[in-house]
Amino acid sequence: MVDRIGLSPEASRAEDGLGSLEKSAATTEEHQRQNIIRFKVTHVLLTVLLLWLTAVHVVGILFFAKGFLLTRLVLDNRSECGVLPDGQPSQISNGCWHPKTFDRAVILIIDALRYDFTIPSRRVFEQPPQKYYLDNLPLLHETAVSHPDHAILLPFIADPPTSTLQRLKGLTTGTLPTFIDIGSNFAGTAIEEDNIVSQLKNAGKTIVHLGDDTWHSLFPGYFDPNMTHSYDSFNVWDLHTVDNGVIEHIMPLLDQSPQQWDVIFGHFLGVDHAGHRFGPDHPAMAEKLRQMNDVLQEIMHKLDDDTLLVVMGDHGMDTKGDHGGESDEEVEAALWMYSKQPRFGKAETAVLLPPATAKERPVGQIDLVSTLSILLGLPIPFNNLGKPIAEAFTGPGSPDWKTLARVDRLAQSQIARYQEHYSRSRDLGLDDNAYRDQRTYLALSVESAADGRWEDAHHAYVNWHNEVISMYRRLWANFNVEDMICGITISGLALGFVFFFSRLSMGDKASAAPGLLRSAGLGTVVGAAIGSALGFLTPSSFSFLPGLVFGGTICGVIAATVWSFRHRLTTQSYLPSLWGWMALVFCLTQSAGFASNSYTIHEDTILLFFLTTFGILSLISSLRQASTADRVLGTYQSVLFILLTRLASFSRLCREEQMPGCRSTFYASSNSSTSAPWQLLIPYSVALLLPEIIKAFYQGTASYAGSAGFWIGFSFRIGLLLVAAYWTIDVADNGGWLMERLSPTTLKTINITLARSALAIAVPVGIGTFVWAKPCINISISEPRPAADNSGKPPRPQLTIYGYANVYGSRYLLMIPMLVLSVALLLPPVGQFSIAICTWQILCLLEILDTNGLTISSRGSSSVGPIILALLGSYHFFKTGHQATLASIQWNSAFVPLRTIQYPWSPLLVVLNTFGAQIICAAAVPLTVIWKRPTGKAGLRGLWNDVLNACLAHALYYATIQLATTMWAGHLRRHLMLYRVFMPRYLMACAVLLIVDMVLVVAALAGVRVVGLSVGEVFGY
Amino acid sequence: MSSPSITHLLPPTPVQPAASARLLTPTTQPIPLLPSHLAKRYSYFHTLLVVIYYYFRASALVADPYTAMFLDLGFVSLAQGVFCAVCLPSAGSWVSGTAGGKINESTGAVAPLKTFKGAKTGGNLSGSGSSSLRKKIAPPSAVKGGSTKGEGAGGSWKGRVTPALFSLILTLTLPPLPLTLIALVLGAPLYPTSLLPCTLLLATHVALLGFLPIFYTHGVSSSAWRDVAAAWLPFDESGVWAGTVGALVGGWIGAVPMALDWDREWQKWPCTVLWGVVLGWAVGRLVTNVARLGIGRRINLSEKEEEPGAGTEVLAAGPVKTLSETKKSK
Repeated sequence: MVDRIGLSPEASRAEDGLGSLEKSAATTEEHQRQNIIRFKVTHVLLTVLLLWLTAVHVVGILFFAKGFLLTRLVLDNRSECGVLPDGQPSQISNGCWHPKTFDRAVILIIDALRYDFTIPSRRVFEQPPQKYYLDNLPLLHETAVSHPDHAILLPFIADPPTSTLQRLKGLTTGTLPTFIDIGSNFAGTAIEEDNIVSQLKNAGKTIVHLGDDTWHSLFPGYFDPNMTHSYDSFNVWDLHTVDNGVIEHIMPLLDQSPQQWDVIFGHFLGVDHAGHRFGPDHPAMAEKLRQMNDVLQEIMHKLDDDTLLVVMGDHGMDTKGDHGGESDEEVEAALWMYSKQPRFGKAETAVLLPPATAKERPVGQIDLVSTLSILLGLPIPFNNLGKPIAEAFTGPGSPDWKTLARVDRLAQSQIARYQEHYSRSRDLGLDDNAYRDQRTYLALSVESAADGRWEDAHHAYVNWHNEVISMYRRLWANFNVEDMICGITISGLALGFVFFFSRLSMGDKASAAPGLLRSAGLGTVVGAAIGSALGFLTPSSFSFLPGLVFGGTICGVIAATVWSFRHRLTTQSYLPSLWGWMALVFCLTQSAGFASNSYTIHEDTILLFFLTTFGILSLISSLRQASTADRVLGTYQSVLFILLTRLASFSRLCREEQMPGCRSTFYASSNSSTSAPWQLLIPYSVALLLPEIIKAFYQGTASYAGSAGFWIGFSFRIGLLLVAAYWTIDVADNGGWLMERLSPTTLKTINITLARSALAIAVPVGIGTFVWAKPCINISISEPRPAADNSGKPPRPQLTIYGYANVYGSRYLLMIPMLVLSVALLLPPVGQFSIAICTWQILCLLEILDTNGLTISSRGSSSVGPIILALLGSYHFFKTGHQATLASIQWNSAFVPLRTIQYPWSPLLVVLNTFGAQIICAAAVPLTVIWKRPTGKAGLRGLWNDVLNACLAHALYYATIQLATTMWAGHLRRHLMLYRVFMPRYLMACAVLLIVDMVLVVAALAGVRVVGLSVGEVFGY
Repeated sequence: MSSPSITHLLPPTPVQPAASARLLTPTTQPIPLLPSHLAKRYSYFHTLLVVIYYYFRASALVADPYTAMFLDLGFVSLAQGVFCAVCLPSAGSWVSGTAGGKINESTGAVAPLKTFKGAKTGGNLSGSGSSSLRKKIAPPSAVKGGSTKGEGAGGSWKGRVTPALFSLILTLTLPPLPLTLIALVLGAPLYPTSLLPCTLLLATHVALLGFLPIFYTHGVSSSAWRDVAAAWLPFDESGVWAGTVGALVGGWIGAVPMALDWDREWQKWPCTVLWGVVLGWAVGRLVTNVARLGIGRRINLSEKEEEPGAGTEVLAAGPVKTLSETKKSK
């Protein structure tokens, strides 16, 4: 049983390039050369085709985002000290609009200081749980209880998004954030609009800043250069540098006499970093909070009588210590104000203690600016929308309602002035009714003030303010529906084209590429011309650039669709097979499900359901196979696939909305973001088993030859061991096991070295192996046997080729370990468990496809393989500790091989960590074509057509999901859950689509080219 | 020279077998309804009875799933047992399969249909004479005992109750565990473990609805059960196989409302799935037993294939010219 292939010397020597042009006399060589050129040209054409599709996707996404992501107009006006907001000159001597209460202020931000950190647990729980984040910062509550005239402690509600940069904007300008700004957290930009820091500067105050350097990007040049000390804010591994720096420099400033500063802004990051790194329930958090307690104690003692001390959190943190979203735990921060002299009071006389939970008597973070401005005798910044905090103005003893009402009146007229200017600059599109309640309350407030009923005036004013704020919240949810519809149209047309071209048209798509591209290009040019012309003619409906882009994209897609429709329509039945129906049902039901927040929240369970359903169907189908080998192998792999899917489901990281009824297992506990020591078994098991598993799939076709042994059995395993070592040291560091022997810096150095070595194996060695490896075959030549039939022919030596059955597949599969290794390095141990299962499942899937005749070949282009791969990628996205929420991004992964943020590597690492599963699955898409693809006379013919079919089917899934989530997000733009559920899912779908598009171009198509040339060199093109 | 691993190395044969030829041949015949009027009417009535029963037990199920499902087992076993005894031929009393006959996927849909139609028209034309007609169709080897149970349509009542009891025992012991496993891998809750008995009971209900009649009609024939495992039985006029498929698909769909955040009591495991099972079962029975659609067909799991040659047609454009040239020269 031996395969006899006479390899002529010509055939085995394949040369491309011009060198061989002249000397190619033999016709076979000429054909080879032509085939090679054709193969390469087709690759380039298909790359261009996919890039064009990517560009269409980008344009669609941008158009929608332009209308959907909210914007607020920034007014450049500034409040002036001498002019009251109603236009009258100010008569106050001791301050601007109102007599000041304090000369100086120390404003300390403890990043991520959640309200419940400051409240004694016995006030909330009957039996207080033992948590590290509770009861370790008692000072704030103690002082507020024992000296209510000196200290006030209140819940301080942040407006989402709860990222530090956004919060600082809100805290210094008093404005409501709009979503569009969230992207700027990584590169802060200066605040242009009126704010309290610039007001301080205008008043000639000396401002000192200590701590988080985000302030400097927001307020460049505002701070006193001699006393200011800032520190890098993004190194979340480092809990102490920033805090120690602030403490070191703030104490001498407080001891100065006379003081050379007026306002100190101190920004502690330790609590936030402890949360990001360990989660709230960790000894490091307790230690950090106790340190803060001691520091505040010391600062309190050093304070003089005319200095105000403010301590606040800019946001909270969720149960894992992350933030960015808008869950209750993320928005509930704490605010504490302290004065040496009794100056504060109560707004509600009946209540004696500070609120026990953040649900009682909360104040907004936008309220801080107006409060501070008036307390320090400054004008309230022009764009401020907050109201003064009542407790700061009612004074000690019985409430001084008159002062409060006066302060209220100032803030009211300032907000009213802002309203007037804003509606003048931008039509709010509100009818008169929208203002009715506001007017009622305002009239009531004025009337009460005139009668001297100051308390009523205050309450009427508070009601007025609530009306205004809620109006602006609605208003800045002001979507541009036309742009959104444009975006959806583009995405929808692109989806329609891909669906038609990949699923409904027959024939060789690879050879159709030039014509298709030509008509698409022509359409784009014509469309761009029409669009820009329309922009010139009717500037009201279209401006030039959007018209150009929109017209070009739309017409390009339409032209391509028309072209493929005219050239490729066949009369064959379009009704899909049962497998096709299954894929269609999976895509459509999931898309429909995104209209409901429940199905968006429980997407991981749905994917488990779908994947297992596929497994059961493939099991049934395998049982029908006639060939015993197919039947047994298919059944075995199907069962394995099902069990692995279910096994992976034990790795979960629950989002807040899934609670209760969901148990997080991704980290040590649901209140932590570190791995438990037992989880370290996982990386070592993965290093031990995963190469063996991959090897077993190679050995099924005797393909474990050539570079496979070195790359998978040795390099890959060493890489995984390095990853395991990295995570061991990480856990040891977090647990403080090696505290006595090694300093944290040494540990970090060791870890960075380990991580970089693993990456070095993954990327340079991996790419090198993949590009230069020979096909995974072994050729043995046996002794010539005497001819059995005695026909007189001389016996010929026999050539046995091991690994012939899967030449393409085994060669291409060399790419996957490279990606698995890179992704595994960035994922915590449980994530590696999931990614290893993902790899195994991909291999199972390939065998299932092969044994059930579902691979994509010239006989049929089944969509099952690529679609199941897409489901698999999406499923393992959730199983690697991610959710479709902003808070679940594992920012830590940026610091695995790096000490500081470095562009472009840090974002790339986070992307690889977040979408690793989808990336691996997208890179595996060509395997659905070439796994056990027969090699023979056909050579590479038809390969590109099949690969393109597979890639398009894969992209089709993600494009469907993207269109669906986009449409639902647009449709449900007034939904309560928009920012919590629909918007993050929509953003994720867009990101995934673009990333998958790029992976298909960069990894899949390029990989097929490498494999095709490499295999063709041996077996003919 | 021929070691097992080397067999893999053989270059694939130039022409691969078509999808239909890759497959085994299903051997089961559609299950006929007994030719009496009672059988026909009772089979309609049975569908209604079971659905109504579950409908009235809905509130009890929501209140306490475990107890309700456990108590329901009695009624459902009885109802299904009676249905089998009244409407279906017991194993051995009919030609349940072709003994290795060559029926492949493409012709399989037709051949059993003929057998089945013959039996049916026979039943309609001459009530009691049907057994003789069926005898004619059946190969002699398969009719063992058939000739002795002449009168009536399905043999003596005693001859029906005993197999019904036996198949009940088999149904309660064999399928629930695999079905539980299927539910669990599809995502049925493992925690809290107190829900596991509920899952087992759900599986038992599915077994009673979907598999009791198969045990009754096909016995423990391994070839029949191989077809069952491969979901390869033909749909039949008695609505047995459609009921099985409907119950499984219905349960699948029944899982959908659980995830919604409506916070209703009935969304808890496994209420909606059980209702989905019952509704799917009823729909399957209505389609085949009452509306008589798709009888004799089998579920086709083969992927569509393009006609050979469709992939090689070329366009006269761009580098395609070189393509066609090289193709010719090859």
